[in-house]
Amino acid sequence: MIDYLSMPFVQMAVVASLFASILCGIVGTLIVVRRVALIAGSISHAAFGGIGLGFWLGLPPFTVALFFSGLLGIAMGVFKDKLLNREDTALSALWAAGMALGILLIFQTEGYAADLIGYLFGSLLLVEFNDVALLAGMAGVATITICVFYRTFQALTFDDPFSRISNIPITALNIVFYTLVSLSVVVLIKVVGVILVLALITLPAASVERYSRTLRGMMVGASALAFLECLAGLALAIGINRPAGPVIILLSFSLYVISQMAMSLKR
Amino acid sequence: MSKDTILKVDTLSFSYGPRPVLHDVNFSMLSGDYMAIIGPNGGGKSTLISIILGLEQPDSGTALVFGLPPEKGRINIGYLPQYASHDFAYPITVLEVVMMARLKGRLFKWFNDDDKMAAMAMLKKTNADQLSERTFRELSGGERQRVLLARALMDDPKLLILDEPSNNLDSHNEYCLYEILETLKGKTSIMMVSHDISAVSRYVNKIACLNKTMHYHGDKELMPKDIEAAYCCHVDLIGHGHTHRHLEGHEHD
Repeated sequence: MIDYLSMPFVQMAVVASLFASILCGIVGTLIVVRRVALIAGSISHAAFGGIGLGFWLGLPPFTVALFFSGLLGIAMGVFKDKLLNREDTALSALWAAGMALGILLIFQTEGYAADLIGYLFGSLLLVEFNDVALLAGMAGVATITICVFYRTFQALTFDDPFSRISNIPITALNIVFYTLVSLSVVVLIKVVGVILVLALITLPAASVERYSRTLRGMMVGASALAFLECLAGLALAIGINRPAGPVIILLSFSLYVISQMAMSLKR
Repeated sequence: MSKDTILKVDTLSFSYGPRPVLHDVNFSMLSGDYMAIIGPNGGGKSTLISIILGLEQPDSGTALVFGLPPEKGRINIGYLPQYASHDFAYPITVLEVVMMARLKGRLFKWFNDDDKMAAMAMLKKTNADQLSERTFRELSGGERQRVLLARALMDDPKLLILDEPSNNLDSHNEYCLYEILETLKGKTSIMMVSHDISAVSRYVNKIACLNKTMHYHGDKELMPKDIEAAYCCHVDLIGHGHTHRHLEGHEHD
């Protein structure tokens, strides 16, 4: 592993993992405590439609996906309260329709079908400086956002009716919340791809939740755990010469299962 | 104390789809009132609270809270929910839960020493100050309720609404709760909703009976023999051993 660390692409992957982990720790915690994993999944898969749109229009696919998901996040914030029931059905439909649109549009565009796999499963060992810069920027945005909105996010995620009764501006707060979630999800697609991104975001946070005293502690713990999982997953993936994304996810899944079992034994 | 009307509910109706939950509900509360609303489960008590708090919109009729629509007037209300609605994995300390009350109307805010001291003072009032550094999820039902009561009482609300406060409490904790409420008399008006009248009758000055519509609504002076009567207005309270008898007419303000 020490030898590998001298290789530029591994160094780049480690730095990318660091920023991805900070992002996962913050945003993953928010998603887990608010129980909106389905929404995050819908956004990531709908973002694939944005990627396809980018290919088709001949624009940078990732920029289009960011824009697409940013708008989706704002829409979620505005309409969350109005989707009275059958919210899960609407979100599942969005999930599948986004994928379908993305696949069709990529096939529609000559010569890009091969890139499909890269977007579906990510490529941590192939990240470039621009990707790392984007991850670092997004980690910075998430950190600043959580510093500003920490207490109101806490109220919103802990006790939604109380937040309403307290006249906290819920719609504005929801727009901030879902825009942050959407943009983070899309940026993380670069690391593990559309299909696995949800697990990378939620599993570390879910693993540390019951061991954390505060939301802040959960965010720090989830970030640290995510980084360790990424490092171990990278080392293992290089060692056995397999793609890093799935190895990292299986590793974090194992730790999630262990954490839940340990907690139920403790009780 | 001046007897202003702090809550006026007028010809209020509400239904979930085709199922009517509230029909033509009328009542009011005056400043200083300590009112109990009793009725069976499914009788619309929680829905009525939701409308007063502006969380649900009535199909027809109005609720005016301190002369304002609920979305505006509710800022004067402290609310104690049934604790069962909380997430028991959530990592948050007791002090943080209570300080949450200071977020009123804010999009963002950081807590300062003043917020912390106010929260500690309220926790002391509800005999929960020794819990302040514990996490909310590790508390017992009675302890959680004292913490949520402290949150509801932050910054002296003019009206305190309690939803089934005696649920999940043993008789000692229930007694303690009513003793705390007793100290608020005069400063804070109280509305308590319960399916169990046995606990509330000693303390309240107004009692109403809700089962889709308000069947009885009056001063406690008409009690206590009438309390039994209040039970039987189509309310089926099983297991209290009271003789049931129908009220002839409905009284309203």
